[in-house]
Amino acid sequence: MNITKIDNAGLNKIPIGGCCEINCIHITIKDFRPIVEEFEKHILDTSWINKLDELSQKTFKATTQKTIDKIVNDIIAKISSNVNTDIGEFIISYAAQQALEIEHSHTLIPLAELLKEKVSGNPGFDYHSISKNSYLVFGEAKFSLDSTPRARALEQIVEFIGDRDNSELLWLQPFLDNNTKKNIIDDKKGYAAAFSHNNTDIITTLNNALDSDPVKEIIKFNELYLIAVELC
Amino acid sequence: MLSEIIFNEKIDHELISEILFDFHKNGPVDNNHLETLSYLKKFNFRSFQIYEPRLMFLMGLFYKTKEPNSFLETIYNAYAETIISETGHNFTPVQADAYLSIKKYTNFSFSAPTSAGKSFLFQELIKETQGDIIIILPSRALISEYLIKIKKLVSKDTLVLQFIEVVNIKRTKNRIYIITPERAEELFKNVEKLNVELILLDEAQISEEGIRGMKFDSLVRRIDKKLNNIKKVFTHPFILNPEAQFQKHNITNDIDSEIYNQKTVGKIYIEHSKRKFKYFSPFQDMMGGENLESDIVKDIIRNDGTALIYISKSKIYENSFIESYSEYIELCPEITNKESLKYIEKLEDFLGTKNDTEKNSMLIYLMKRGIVIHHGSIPLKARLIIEDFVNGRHAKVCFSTSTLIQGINMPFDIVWIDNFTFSGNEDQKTLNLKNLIGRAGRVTQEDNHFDYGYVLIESKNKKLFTLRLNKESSISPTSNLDNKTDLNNEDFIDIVEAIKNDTFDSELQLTESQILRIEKADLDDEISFILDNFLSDDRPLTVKEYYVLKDSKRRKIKKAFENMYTAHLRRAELTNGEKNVLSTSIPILLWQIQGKSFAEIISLRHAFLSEKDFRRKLSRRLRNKEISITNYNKQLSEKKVRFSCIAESLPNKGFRTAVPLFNRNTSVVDLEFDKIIYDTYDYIDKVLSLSVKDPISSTLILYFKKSNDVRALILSNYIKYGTNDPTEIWLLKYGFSFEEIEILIDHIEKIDENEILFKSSVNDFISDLDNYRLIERYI
Repeated sequence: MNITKIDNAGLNKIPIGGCCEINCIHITIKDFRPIVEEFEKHILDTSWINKLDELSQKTFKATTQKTIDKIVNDIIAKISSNVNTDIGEFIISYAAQQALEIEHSHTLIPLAELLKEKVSGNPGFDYHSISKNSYLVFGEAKFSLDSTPRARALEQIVEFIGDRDNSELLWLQPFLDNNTKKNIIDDKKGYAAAFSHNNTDIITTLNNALDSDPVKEIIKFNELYLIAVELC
Repeated sequence: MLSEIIFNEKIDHELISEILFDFHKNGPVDNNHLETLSYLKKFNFRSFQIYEPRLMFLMGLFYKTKEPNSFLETIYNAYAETIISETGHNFTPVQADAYLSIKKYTNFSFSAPTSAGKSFLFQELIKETQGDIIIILPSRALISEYLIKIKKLVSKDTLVLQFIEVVNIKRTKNRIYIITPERAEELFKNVEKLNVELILLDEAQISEEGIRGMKFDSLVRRIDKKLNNIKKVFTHPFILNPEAQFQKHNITNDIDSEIYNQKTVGKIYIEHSKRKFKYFSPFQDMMGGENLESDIVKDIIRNDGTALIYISKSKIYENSFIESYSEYIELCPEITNKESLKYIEKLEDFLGTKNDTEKNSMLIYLMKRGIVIHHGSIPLKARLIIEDFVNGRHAKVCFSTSTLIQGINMPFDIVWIDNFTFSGNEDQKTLNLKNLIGRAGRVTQEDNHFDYGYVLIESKNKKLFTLRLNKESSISPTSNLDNKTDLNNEDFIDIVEAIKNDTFDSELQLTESQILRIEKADLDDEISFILDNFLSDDRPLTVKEYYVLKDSKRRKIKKAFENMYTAHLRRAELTNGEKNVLSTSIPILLWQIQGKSFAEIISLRHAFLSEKDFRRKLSRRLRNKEISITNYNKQLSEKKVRFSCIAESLPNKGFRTAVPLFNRNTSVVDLEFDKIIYDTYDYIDKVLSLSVKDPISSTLILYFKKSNDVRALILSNYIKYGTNDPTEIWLLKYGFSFEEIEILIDHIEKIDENEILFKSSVNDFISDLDNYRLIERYI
């Protein structure tokens, strides 16, 4: 995984004024199979079926490996399906979190904690982290094999602001330190929009994003991260 | 859970996430969650559909899933694929785990709730077993159900019988015997001739049932000793300690046990009082119940659903249920569907009620409206027709007693528990209740479809119901065989001792001490009197001949039979009640021996009890204008039914005096035909088959051994088999009933243990598909 911070100076659509700190990141991933496998392992480790002792782990491992091979190959061959979109969003979320941790020293809320939402398939934010400034950052991930769904990611955030984010606080509570909690009470928080990048020019993509209506809403809060993820 | 949140317009995300995540981690084990899901589906049908595909994956119901739509579903689908490649079957995880354990261990005991799919697991096991299979079941009703299913399942070179006889040897590849523990004795007599590969002990909680439990336990010990390395599987409804079956007998050879608590169907609970219906939750009720706006039972019936109403046998016998449930009965119009009518016709043929205005059968009247009655005194064959009728979705309402609890596979949309009396100790009561409500909610095969049913109880029983539902049952880790049982009933001392000491004579079906007592009793005079007077030309009297005998002679015959029966008991005298039962059973036995069908026997008994001769004469007098119509009606209504004592299992010294089948003041015109059906079947089943035939025919065999009087052997055969004809006896050993033998016997050339050789006339006979099916295993 290759993570590149984009210098705001190179982006001419960065909104001027306001208190929102905006950061843009470009990620390229060559081998996403380990990410899929991590998710798979997590599902397995927690499922009741795994606790039934007579089912052969060996046969099962072989079957899931075949399943994962198919998913990985399909994504590479750009064959679209609901399953690929679903795992794609996980890959985007995973990559975005890594970037936030490495480039911006965020503390991550483990993706595993989101399994409950994944299991029900209910809509909600896809990843969470706490920034250096003790702001809780709600992350949205959108995946596509052939387009760049940055608009969908940003629109989704706007739709969730003040509703989903508040309802998620309940289960996020145990991961939050006092400062972050205090900031939340003061309605200080951040958002991250991660999305597949299938355009040729990253700067154009980011400028278009920055210039869009949803961003005007989001920058009313404290931090915004735009994360473009390329699978290659 | 019952909470305001359930009735919201939208499904609460948090709530459903919680449930689905719990199912992911723990499987569908939480009744509270299953209840909540049922409510969510009921009140938010459309929004719930979004969750149903993944719910099916999470519940492991892989036969109801479609293509996975998310990564999570893909992983679950990988489980499904693994199961297929590991087991070769499209099993649920529970079925697969049990299947693999059965394959792996010599002794495997497990428990699983109703609808866990035990039957399908067994079916697949049976299909792939090459050697002989013994299936031990607690009731004959269940045996009949298994017989029908298994015969359809296996190829025709598999012999399927409800007792152990090694017959049809030439044409048999392997054998499946489906028997009660009582009939398992023959297993050890024939064990050398068999190639037993698998022993299934289904509903093994029978081990807890008094003397039957002891017989079962004794069988388990013997098979552990004599068939130590044969695969054995014990199954139970949900209990906490299936390993108790091993602890009871110190079985240690390659054992494993498993508790499966995963369910497949959700349930909504409703309480009822004075025609008011109210939702309640036995698990978590956060709103103190919620009234229903309409009568749920009526709604279900009107919407083509099915209802099971669990009531007491007395309510059925007294017909009081008709009035109590009249508004539901009224909702069921007369059936016109030809397919449905076929079952009714079949039942009418069997009972002989067709076009007979004298035989008013409520059973038939109701069935014509899609309402059935199901209890233990309905003849087994009739019960099977009724069960088929229900399973074919021709019935709307079923009134049933406890016979339905054990195993019989008839699910309904709603189960209404009117009668809250359950038998056994507290653990058994809990098990029985759970088994009963296990009938609520049909498991459909429909993809992406969560199934749920309703359980309806009377408000007065809510507390006890909730208590029992939330309690887990266990079985005892010690066998009754090892308990110092203080039997205050002397009638059972022999059998208990014989089971404990393994001194039961399977040939004579008597205990050693009983045989000894018969040998010591001086019965020679009685038996020779019977042989001289009860037999004529080496066959028993007909009922007509029996009633032509002088009263004194008939009394002497009765007395002789009484003494022959009493000889094996510890006491010298039968109670008055017992004597009455025995006496009433004699003509029924004779009718059976004469080859009368059940319809004929009940018709004859009906004629006798309703004074048909008197009625006929009276009609003649009316026709001849000797009496007026008023006088005719008056005389008819004043004529009372004849006395007949109800059937009762023998011995039963508590049955002191005779209990009349009909109230003594019942007029012949008010006689209920159904009571004759039920009582006659009880006589054939409980009295003759299970109580009287063995001791009397064995007494005759013992007399033959002593005296060499071949007539004793002949009468013994008549009593035991209903015939002395060797071909007929062989046909019985091949599993045919008398009704079947009657249509078959003309086509038999030769029959022995090796095969049946048919005459060429059989070719015509088998052009009828039903006839072909009857003998396909033997040609």
